[in-house]
Amino acid sequence: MRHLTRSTVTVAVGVLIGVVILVFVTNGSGLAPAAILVSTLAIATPLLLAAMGGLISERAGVVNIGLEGMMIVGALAGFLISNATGSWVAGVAGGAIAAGLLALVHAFVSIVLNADQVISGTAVNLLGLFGTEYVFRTFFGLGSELPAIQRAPTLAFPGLGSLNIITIVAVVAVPVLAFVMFRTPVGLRLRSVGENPLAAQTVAIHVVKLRFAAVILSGVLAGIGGAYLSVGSLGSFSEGMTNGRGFIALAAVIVGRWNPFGALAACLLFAVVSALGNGFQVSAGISADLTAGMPYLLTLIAIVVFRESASAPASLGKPLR
Amino acid sequence: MFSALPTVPLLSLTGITKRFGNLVANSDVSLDVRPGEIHALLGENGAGKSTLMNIAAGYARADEGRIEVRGVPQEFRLPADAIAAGIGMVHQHFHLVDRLTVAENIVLNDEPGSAVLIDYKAANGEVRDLSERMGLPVDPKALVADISVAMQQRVEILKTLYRKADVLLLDEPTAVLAPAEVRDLLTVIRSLADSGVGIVLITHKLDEATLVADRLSVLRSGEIVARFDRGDASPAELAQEMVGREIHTVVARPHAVGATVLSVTDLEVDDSRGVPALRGVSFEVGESEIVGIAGVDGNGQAELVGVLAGLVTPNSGRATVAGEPLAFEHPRSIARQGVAHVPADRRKYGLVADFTLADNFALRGYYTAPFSKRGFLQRGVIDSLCAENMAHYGVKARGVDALAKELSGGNQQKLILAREMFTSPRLLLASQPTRGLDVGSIETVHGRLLKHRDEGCGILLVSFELDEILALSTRVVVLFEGRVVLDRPRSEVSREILGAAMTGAVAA
Ligand SMILES: Nc1ncnc2c1ncn2[C@@H]1O[C@H](COP(=O)(O)OP(=O)(O)OP(=O)(O)O)[C@@H](O)[C@H]1O
Ligand SMILES: [Mg+2]
Repeated sequence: MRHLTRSTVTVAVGVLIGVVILVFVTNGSGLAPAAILVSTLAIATPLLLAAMGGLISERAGVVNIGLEGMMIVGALAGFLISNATGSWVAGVAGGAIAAGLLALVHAFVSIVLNADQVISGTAVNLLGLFGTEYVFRTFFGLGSELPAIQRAPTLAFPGLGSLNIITIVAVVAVPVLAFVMFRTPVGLRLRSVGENPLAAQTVAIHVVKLRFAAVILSGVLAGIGGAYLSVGSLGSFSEGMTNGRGFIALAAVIVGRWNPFGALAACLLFAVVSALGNGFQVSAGISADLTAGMPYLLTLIAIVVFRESASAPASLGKPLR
Repeated sequence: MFSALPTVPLLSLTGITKRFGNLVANSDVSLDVRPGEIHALLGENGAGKSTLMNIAAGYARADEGRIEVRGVPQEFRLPADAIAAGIGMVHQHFHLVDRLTVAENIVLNDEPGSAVLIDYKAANGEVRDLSERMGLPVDPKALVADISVAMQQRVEILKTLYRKADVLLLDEPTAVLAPAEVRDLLTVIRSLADSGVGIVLITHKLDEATLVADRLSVLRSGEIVARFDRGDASPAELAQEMVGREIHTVVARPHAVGATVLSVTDLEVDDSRGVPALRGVSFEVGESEIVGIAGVDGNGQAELVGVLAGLVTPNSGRATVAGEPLAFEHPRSIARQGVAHVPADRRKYGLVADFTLADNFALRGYYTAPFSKRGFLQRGVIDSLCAENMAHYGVKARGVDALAKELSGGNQQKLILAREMFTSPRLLLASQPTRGLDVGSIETVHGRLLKHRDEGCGILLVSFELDEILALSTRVVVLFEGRVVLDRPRSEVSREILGAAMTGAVAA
């Protein structure tokens, strides 16, 4: 239960900072708080989904720096399948499955072959990035016009604005994951595997199976995050459209100390700064380069400030034998 | 002939052979356990005891041989298979999740409640019930990281009992316990056996084995060399079977004490939870002097050694080595002052498990001659020094390029001793230096410690074995609740006096 109390502090601090920035800045600039909030949630959606995925994998003891590659694969598969079937649901599901398959590769290489997990994750990123480029160009030649696809619907919230249905899924995923992680048998087993796989083995937990499941689920969530970009918000695909979001999600896991609420706070912080940056760009005419760079700088600072390696799962990155 | 009905063994191992490369760890070994029986498995460090038990519990697979449970042949591919067959193992080095509670560790993978919600109240309750019923007291809600080694041991046993194991394989369960705790544990083991459980007990303490075991088997170099029934062998005979020669307990001849090496004044330290662990401790160690620190575990010994080794920060107080203030918190400076350290937790602080023996040997002094020259490691020198010193301490391994984790527990300990003594320290902090060693190795190590003492080394010896304290010490200091309650020359203390002081009946 200690995880919870410690994380509460992190959450409180993170959210507080976010809110203070929001209130302070919006007051002076004339940006509407509701608009900023909606925009924040939209920006946070793919980050959140990928971060929840990364968190599951890392809690099971497997480093997943391949989130970026899994996201882009999810984005492309989502676009293609949604285009082929005319259904956004099929698109998102396809994105999830495609990214899950890529995660399977990472799982096999790092859990069965016991290869270095960072190298395997890097390979997954490269594979995802160049693989999607290749596939995309085979389907749509350079410069050709993209077809319009069915996008995921939005729901209207009176007084606030409209939110994409995937955004709602992403936000709901956080407490659900926290509950699973800290209250359910499978969560306890997952944590034990990431902390001390030998101990897990002494009570007949199938470490390899559980780690496999965790890594694949991690890919599935990252894939939905990617599909949100193509099928959810843009209705289109472009090469490299994930633009580092997988890495930011991974940073959010670390800043959030491997706790779902902590990661949520980190994602929101990143997103709120991005949203404000976009707002300023429009309202105050600040250089786009500057505002676009801000969230990344902030992430860097947050990692330094909130980093506490002591809360990392004790066997993170270590193979069973 | 009317004998009792032959009972089918709960577990029987037949013709087990296990090789690691060209090292034969078990060679055609057969062993069985019957219901209600305690079967002691004895043998030197590296004889193959843990390997055999790992095979019986599904952690390793034999190259040859059969495993049967109640007469039914078994194929254990995973520990889970052995657990399902009713076999529970407590490893020489514990396998617990530090950041989970005691109850969580015990119920893990068999949690009370539904598939979607763990019933923590029931979990804590069930663990408390089981623990009371078995006479193995634990605190269900404590984090494992915060509990004593003895309680961790009990958690490990409860883990197997919670899964209804009826064969218990206990790998040196008493090695880490204080004498009183050993007595309690042996009582529990006996009553478990009386309830029908079959137990294999690995131990290096031969008096313990003769006291509690119904049968005793001796392994030497991977083969069973002798088997006795209760009462058929004395500890001395068993020792002879184990090492193939006679064992003599080392007796320390007095030696003149020189100038003060270590002087500790008014040391105050908190433990990891912020509770005062040392409350104004002062004492001295001289050249050619062995000061034995006696006391029940948890009375400040760990913190004392931690401070002197640079791992723990004191709140206040001073310590000097050869007149120079000790560089608290700076292990390397402390090492440069001539202090060596044999830690109690060899796996955590003593070795890098994935390094070779040679690299582990170089860990203490790798940045100085003869290990390195102009910033380059001298591989050849390191290898030959390591091999030579391993021979002095009888470290059994396939070579200096073996990994530390391949060594048997006792051999890991001997490697650490060899490394720490190589630097000819002025002061040696020796915490449980013979924990997990076989009788022959204890004799060797005691001889070595006395030799270094004679050459001028001052030794701070922390041990829970009163016999060891009494055999080696020049002076004896007793710690109780973080205070020195007794500090006398060896000649002025007896087992009784120490026993009284250790329970706080101050005799000073
Ligand atoms: N994984 C491994 N790889 C290589 N060699 C190994 C491995 N495990 C054990 N050995 C070797 O097998 C032999 C038997 O080791 P084992 O751990 O069974 O000894 P032990 O009887 O339990 O000794 P101790 O009393 O010191 O614990 C040793 O020489 C050890 O170095
Ligand atoms: Mg052993």
